[in-house]
Amino acid sequence: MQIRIGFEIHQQLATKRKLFCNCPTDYRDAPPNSNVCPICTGMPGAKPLPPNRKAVEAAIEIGLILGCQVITDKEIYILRKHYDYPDLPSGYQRTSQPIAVNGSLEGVRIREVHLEEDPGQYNPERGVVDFNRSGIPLVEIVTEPDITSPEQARNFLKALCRTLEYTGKVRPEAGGAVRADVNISLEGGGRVEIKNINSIHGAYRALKFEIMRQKTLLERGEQVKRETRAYLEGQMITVPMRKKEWEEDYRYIPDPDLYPLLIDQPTVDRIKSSMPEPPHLRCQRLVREFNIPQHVAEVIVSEKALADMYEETAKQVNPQLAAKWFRTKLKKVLNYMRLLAEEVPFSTQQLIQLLKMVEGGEVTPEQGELILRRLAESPKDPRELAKEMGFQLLAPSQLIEIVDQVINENPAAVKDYKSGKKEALHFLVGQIMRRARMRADPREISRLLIEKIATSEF
Amino acid sequence: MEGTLEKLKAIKRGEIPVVEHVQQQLERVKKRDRWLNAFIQLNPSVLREAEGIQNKLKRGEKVGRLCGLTVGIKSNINVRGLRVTCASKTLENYVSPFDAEVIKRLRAEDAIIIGMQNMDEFACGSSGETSAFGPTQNPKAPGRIPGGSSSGGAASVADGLCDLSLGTDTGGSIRNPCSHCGVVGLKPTYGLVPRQGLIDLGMSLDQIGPIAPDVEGAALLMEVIAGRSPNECVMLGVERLELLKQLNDDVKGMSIGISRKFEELTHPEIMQVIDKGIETLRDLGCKIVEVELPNLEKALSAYYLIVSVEFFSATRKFDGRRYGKRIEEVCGEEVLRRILRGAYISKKEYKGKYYQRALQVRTLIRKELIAALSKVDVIVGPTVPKLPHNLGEKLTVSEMYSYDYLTVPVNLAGICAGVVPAGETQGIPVGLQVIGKPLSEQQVLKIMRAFERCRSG
Amino acid sequence: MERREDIRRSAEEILQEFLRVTKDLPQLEESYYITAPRGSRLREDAEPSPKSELEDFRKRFLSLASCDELGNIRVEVAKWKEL
Repeated sequence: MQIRIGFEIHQQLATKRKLFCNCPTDYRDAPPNSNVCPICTGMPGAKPLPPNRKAVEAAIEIGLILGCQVITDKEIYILRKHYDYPDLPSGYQRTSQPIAVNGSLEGVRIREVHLEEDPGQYNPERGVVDFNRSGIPLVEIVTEPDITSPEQARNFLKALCRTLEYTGKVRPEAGGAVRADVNISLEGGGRVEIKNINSIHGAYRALKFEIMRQKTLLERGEQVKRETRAYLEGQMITVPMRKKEWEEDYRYIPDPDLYPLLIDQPTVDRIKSSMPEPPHLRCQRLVREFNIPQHVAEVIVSEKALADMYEETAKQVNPQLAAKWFRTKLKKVLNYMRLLAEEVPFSTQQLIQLLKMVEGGEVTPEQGELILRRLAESPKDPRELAKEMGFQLLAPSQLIEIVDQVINENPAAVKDYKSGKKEALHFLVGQIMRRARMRADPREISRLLIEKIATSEF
Repeated sequence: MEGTLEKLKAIKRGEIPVVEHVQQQLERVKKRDRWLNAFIQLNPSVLREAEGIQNKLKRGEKVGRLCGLTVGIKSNINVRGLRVTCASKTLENYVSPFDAEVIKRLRAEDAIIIGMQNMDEFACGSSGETSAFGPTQNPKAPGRIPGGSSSGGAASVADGLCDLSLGTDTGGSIRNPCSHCGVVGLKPTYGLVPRQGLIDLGMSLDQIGPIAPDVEGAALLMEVIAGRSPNECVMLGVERLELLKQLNDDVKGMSIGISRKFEELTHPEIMQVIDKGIETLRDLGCKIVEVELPNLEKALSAYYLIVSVEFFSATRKFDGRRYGKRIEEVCGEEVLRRILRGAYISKKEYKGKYYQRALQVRTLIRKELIAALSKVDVIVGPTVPKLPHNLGEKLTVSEMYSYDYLTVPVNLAGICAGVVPAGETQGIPVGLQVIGKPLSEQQVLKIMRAFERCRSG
Repeated sequence: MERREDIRRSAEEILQEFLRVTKDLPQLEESYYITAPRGSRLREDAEPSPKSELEDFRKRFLSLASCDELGNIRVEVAKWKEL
């Protein structure tokens, strides 16, 4: 069955001021209607200020990182899109014509990227509006309907969010939310648009439900009509929306109060040259440059700050060791402590020091992980921490002494091992570890044991 | 009667105490305005503001360029704390939370805002009869319409109720009432005066401009309000204007364009006054040149199509949720007419045929006017094609629209034009329209000043 | 609603006149902006408006409509919620 899925994704841009006025954009903790002015509340006679430069340049950068062609030396009109809704203070939304077109990500074609202003926040149940969010710049990314399954849709959204995060120009939504409108058509049937999706998971579930719903209709011999539906998160279903809410004719006109955008090639070149490397390209480069496995590199590039940390680390520590640590122990600590890579309290230098200690055998990898966990709680010189935690390994002579002691005290176990019982070795290692108060590397203990037992009289 | 600049000098020198000056005008307003109906709301703090400026003068402090002069404000310009109603039930209780940019400039120059003036509802009219607060009278031609939509502004200046007024002109709304009431007005080049805080009729056509009893007053007010503002987007790059300096210069040798088209479209009694005016200019040493304006009358319908689309868009915010009432529920006929027309011709299926085609006609009109103006310094002619009708007389829609034939081409082209009293017929004032190239306010005002000086003998 | 029909009809008269007078005019470029912009006018992303300005406007803004204890503007409850 031919499935065609496409997305329209909206993401807020990280600017200090709104798109067409100078109001602050940090509205999450602000009391309702405290970050507003005549412009973003649609007061009579209020006219927009010239568009926010940072927002325009962010849209260009996002277009470039998605492999698009930026529209240069041609007027890009900012249009008025008219419709009636309580969260839209002027009765129209200002939205630009495409700024960049014809890109692709993970095999899905990107049709276009453009700018628009966020409406306010309307609570339909309580019947109230807060305009703090009104006027914040949004980038809208429209894909072609190249996606063919809910799984592919989920992976695509993950990749897209990661790529956008890389630019550092988008404002992360609370709780990792994603604003996406999805469209889907089956076997050339009517195109159904689904609104009110706020998460990657929601998109996945909405698509699964919608495919089931449409398949059922088609099996019954009914037609799937073209319509707009709303996704209800609680029930994980889609329901029809009243057409009047989403009028077809928006009566687009160029906004007479705003000059069209005009982007020149030097601006595009400047942005391109200072852009961060997109994650999929960085992944390939890490594999090549540091000779690490693909699946490890993928984990490293999952966050830009993590990849930055890795590259700095790999300059001073064995890259493969570093990579293994990043993929396993470091990722584990971050997940356990619910930290983003850019939020870690320790410095990269401290991490490098720790890894050097592991590399040099000063601490065991297990000890290293414990130190890392401490570092993530209260950063300090790792050597200090190692001392505090009593992790400094015994000197070889001390260890040999303990190995000899334990061998002498456990002749039965030694005999068992000699006769082929491998578990006996583990038992002996355990005994030694305890006596050494963990200040030894179990691999080193094994090695010494095997050596000693081979030459012992038992 | 003393001119605006003399009055200003007298105030600055302390010969006319500011408070006394304002009190006198308030007295006159009290006496006359019940009949004239030029004001919707008087500024309750006007005497306090006058005192403040008077004290400034007493203390020898530096005072602004409009020191103590009273300015009436058309009711579609936001003045913080006053009711900015657009003469409509939609906004009848809308107390503005912010000052328009031009109001900030007036305050910075110590003007005294005397009150909010009557107008045609949402500026949709040319007669002064469509206000939700009742029609305005014509003090110079009682029983006749004062013109519109800046009816209150022109009538109050004509009747001495305030020193100056701020009006707005989208299709002739300053020039039309100035002609009917016998006062001076100017529609600036589009983009010269900031529109931040002006409640829209047609965004690509609206301009705020001065209404004054004399040309010097208009020039002074124009100097204060004109110039680039960083607080909006679509503006010309001109920082400030200098208009008073060369205002009284000799106009000998300037070339004046006239067009036969004006005669074709205009009532002969009006043309008689205009022709005499042109002779006056000839006597002053100006060269009279004929110019071609073959498509002039096509501007009218193109104008009404464009302004309707823009007005429809502009009024979507009047949904009654954050302030006022939903406009379609309470507005007058002409306002509703423009909203419905705008909604219709901006639909996907009609846009090309009407709206976009009208924008093509706009290109034609602009090209034609600019071409004609390249041959002369200014073009001169009548302001209105027919005499103002009697208040309350029933006109068809197209009869009403036809007042605008000679004024809308200027708005479509975005150029500037002023009106100066030229005489009377049947006791009704007739204004001479002086049209200039973009940013040629200096030329236009110079001609108007020379003409005015000549007429006053 | 008959009044509205009359107004609608009278609104369309000028459309007929427009089509008539422009019938033989050539196709031309559409004029969207009378003032020509010099390059793209953009605004720097600097510090936002000061708190005092925001507070003053908030007071005036909330006094123009009905609002709740927190300062949200009261509007209508969504129609499709009422289904």
